[in-house]
Amino acid sequence: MTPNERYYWDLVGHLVVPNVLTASEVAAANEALDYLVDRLQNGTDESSDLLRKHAQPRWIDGTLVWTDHTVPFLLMLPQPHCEPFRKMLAPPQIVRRLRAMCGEGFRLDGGPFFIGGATGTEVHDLHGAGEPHKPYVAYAEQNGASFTGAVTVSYAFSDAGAGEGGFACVPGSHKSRYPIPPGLRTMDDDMGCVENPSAKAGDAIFFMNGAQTHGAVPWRGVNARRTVLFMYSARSAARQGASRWCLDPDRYWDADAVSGMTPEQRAVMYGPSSAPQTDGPYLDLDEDGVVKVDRDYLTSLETASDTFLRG
Amino acid sequence: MKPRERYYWDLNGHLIVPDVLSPGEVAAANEALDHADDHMRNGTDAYAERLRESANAAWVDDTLVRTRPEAPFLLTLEPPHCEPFRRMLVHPEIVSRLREMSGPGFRLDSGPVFIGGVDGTRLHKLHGSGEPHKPYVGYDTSGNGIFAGAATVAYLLADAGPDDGGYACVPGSHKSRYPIPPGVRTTENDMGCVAKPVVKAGDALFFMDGAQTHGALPWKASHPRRTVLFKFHCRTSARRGSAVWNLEPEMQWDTNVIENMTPTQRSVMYGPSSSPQSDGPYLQVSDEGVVSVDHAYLPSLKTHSDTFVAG
Repeated sequence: MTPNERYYWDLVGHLVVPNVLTASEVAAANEALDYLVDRLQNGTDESSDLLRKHAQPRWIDGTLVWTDHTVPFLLMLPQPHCEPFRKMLAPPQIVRRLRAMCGEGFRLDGGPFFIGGATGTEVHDLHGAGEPHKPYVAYAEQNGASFTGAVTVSYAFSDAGAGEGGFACVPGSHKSRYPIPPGLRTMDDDMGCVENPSAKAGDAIFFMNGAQTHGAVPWRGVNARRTVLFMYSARSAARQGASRWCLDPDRYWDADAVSGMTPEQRAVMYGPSSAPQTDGPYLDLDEDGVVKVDRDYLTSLETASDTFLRG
Repeated sequence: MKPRERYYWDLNGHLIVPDVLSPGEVAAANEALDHADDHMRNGTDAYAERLRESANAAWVDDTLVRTRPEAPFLLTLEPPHCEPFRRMLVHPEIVSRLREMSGPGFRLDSGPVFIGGVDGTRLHKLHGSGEPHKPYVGYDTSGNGIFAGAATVAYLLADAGPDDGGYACVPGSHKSRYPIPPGVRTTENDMGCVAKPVVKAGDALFFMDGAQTHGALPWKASHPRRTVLFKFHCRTSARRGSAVWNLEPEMQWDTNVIENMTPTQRSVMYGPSSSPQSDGPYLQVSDEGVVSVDHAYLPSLKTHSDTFVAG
């Protein structure tokens, strides 16, 4: 990471690195994505069903615009189609920067997953911010060293010129101490804060996923939008991806550690994850000081904040 | 958490809550420890063998002085001896405070671990600090919240008077922006910074494990030191405990995700943990731009910093 890149990253919360992939690597990835689309749309065998189950694809007018990010289905495609994405896991251009951004020992937390776009794609509301503070994605700087809990690398497989839509963000918002105003979240009143960086096929956009306020503006490009996102986390932070599958106390600990425990005791034995999708890990006390599992906690978050549940 | 407690916790990095356990609960816990001690020393059955393996106990002059924190062996004692420790897991006095200290959804990261002492037990060097910053244990105040990545609860099962030794700390060090001076680490020149709180059997001592500089002074009382530590973390960070056992890519992901991956690709597929005790997750990039697994990373940490490898 060059000093200029470090300055820009700390200042705005994202970084566009051009030409990370060669033209032939872009072509191979697009070919693999075409294969994926075909299998998702037309496959009739068991592996196609599994692919659909993992990818949870969404379509607009026959164009793939979204997949789920909790199962790394792109790494599981049959040869040779998994290879372009496996090579993107740890190429030098990425490793060199993630070591500085997230610290040594960074890890894949979620993805890779696909985000596409066709004319008519709606706004993806802006989300993530420095406030409320979320330790697992937060940005910190201390004594010349910087720490980002979560960095997502978005590879572009089609060009996105400025103003053509796609990734949008609020530069500097990873350091904000105030929550996102409603009008800014929907971009109905963006206050002049929102940027839509341009990126060409082969470029990689690094952004502080969860700390920087980001989302997507409607796609207006000539070609369909095509990006694949790898969600990395710092060595000790857990968010989504496999964390969800390892979450349950019976999976996380030996049986004799958790057998016979009360629900309240089990609550503190869950594995780490920011988005557990279960209220099991949350405890509260009633008016009499009795500890109980808080069954309303996740529900209340869904109402109060979409950023937490999204991780 | 009372306002005065919050002030003290934020200011100092530790908090003593008196009389959390009744004399009967202290007696039951001590009886259970005697049971564990006896079985680990004299037991010949499979239960005793399992206890020895999971506790990895150490004795000085026939007195149990230490077990390891990774396996929660005290929770696996045969009933009724596991019960005192299982009740401590979610004691109302603990839950009400941890919800605020580490956030809702706090979890047991490791322990409960036993720390004892007899007359002559050596100094446990001071470790942990606000600098270098470690995101998984770091202390942060943003908005109206306080966030401690790690909060360890030490239950006292024997008194520790002002000159008896035991837990010692540097109040305020969780906010320090400078590393621990060597003389403070060994207490040979403690600069008047080191405090030795007075605690009684039944008290609970909360401290910011990893953020606050802490350790233990040589034990000088005529009775043995007896404490049991529960190492809690916020919902999203992973340090030791079961994180160590769930670390391998094969534990985290389905087989078809990681099969045939290169060592560098596998590196980013490890699970979350601050102390992986494996160099598998660490990557480096050569001057020529070649990515490789950094097998020298963990040994270098052992030389430069005992706090990271110790978690």
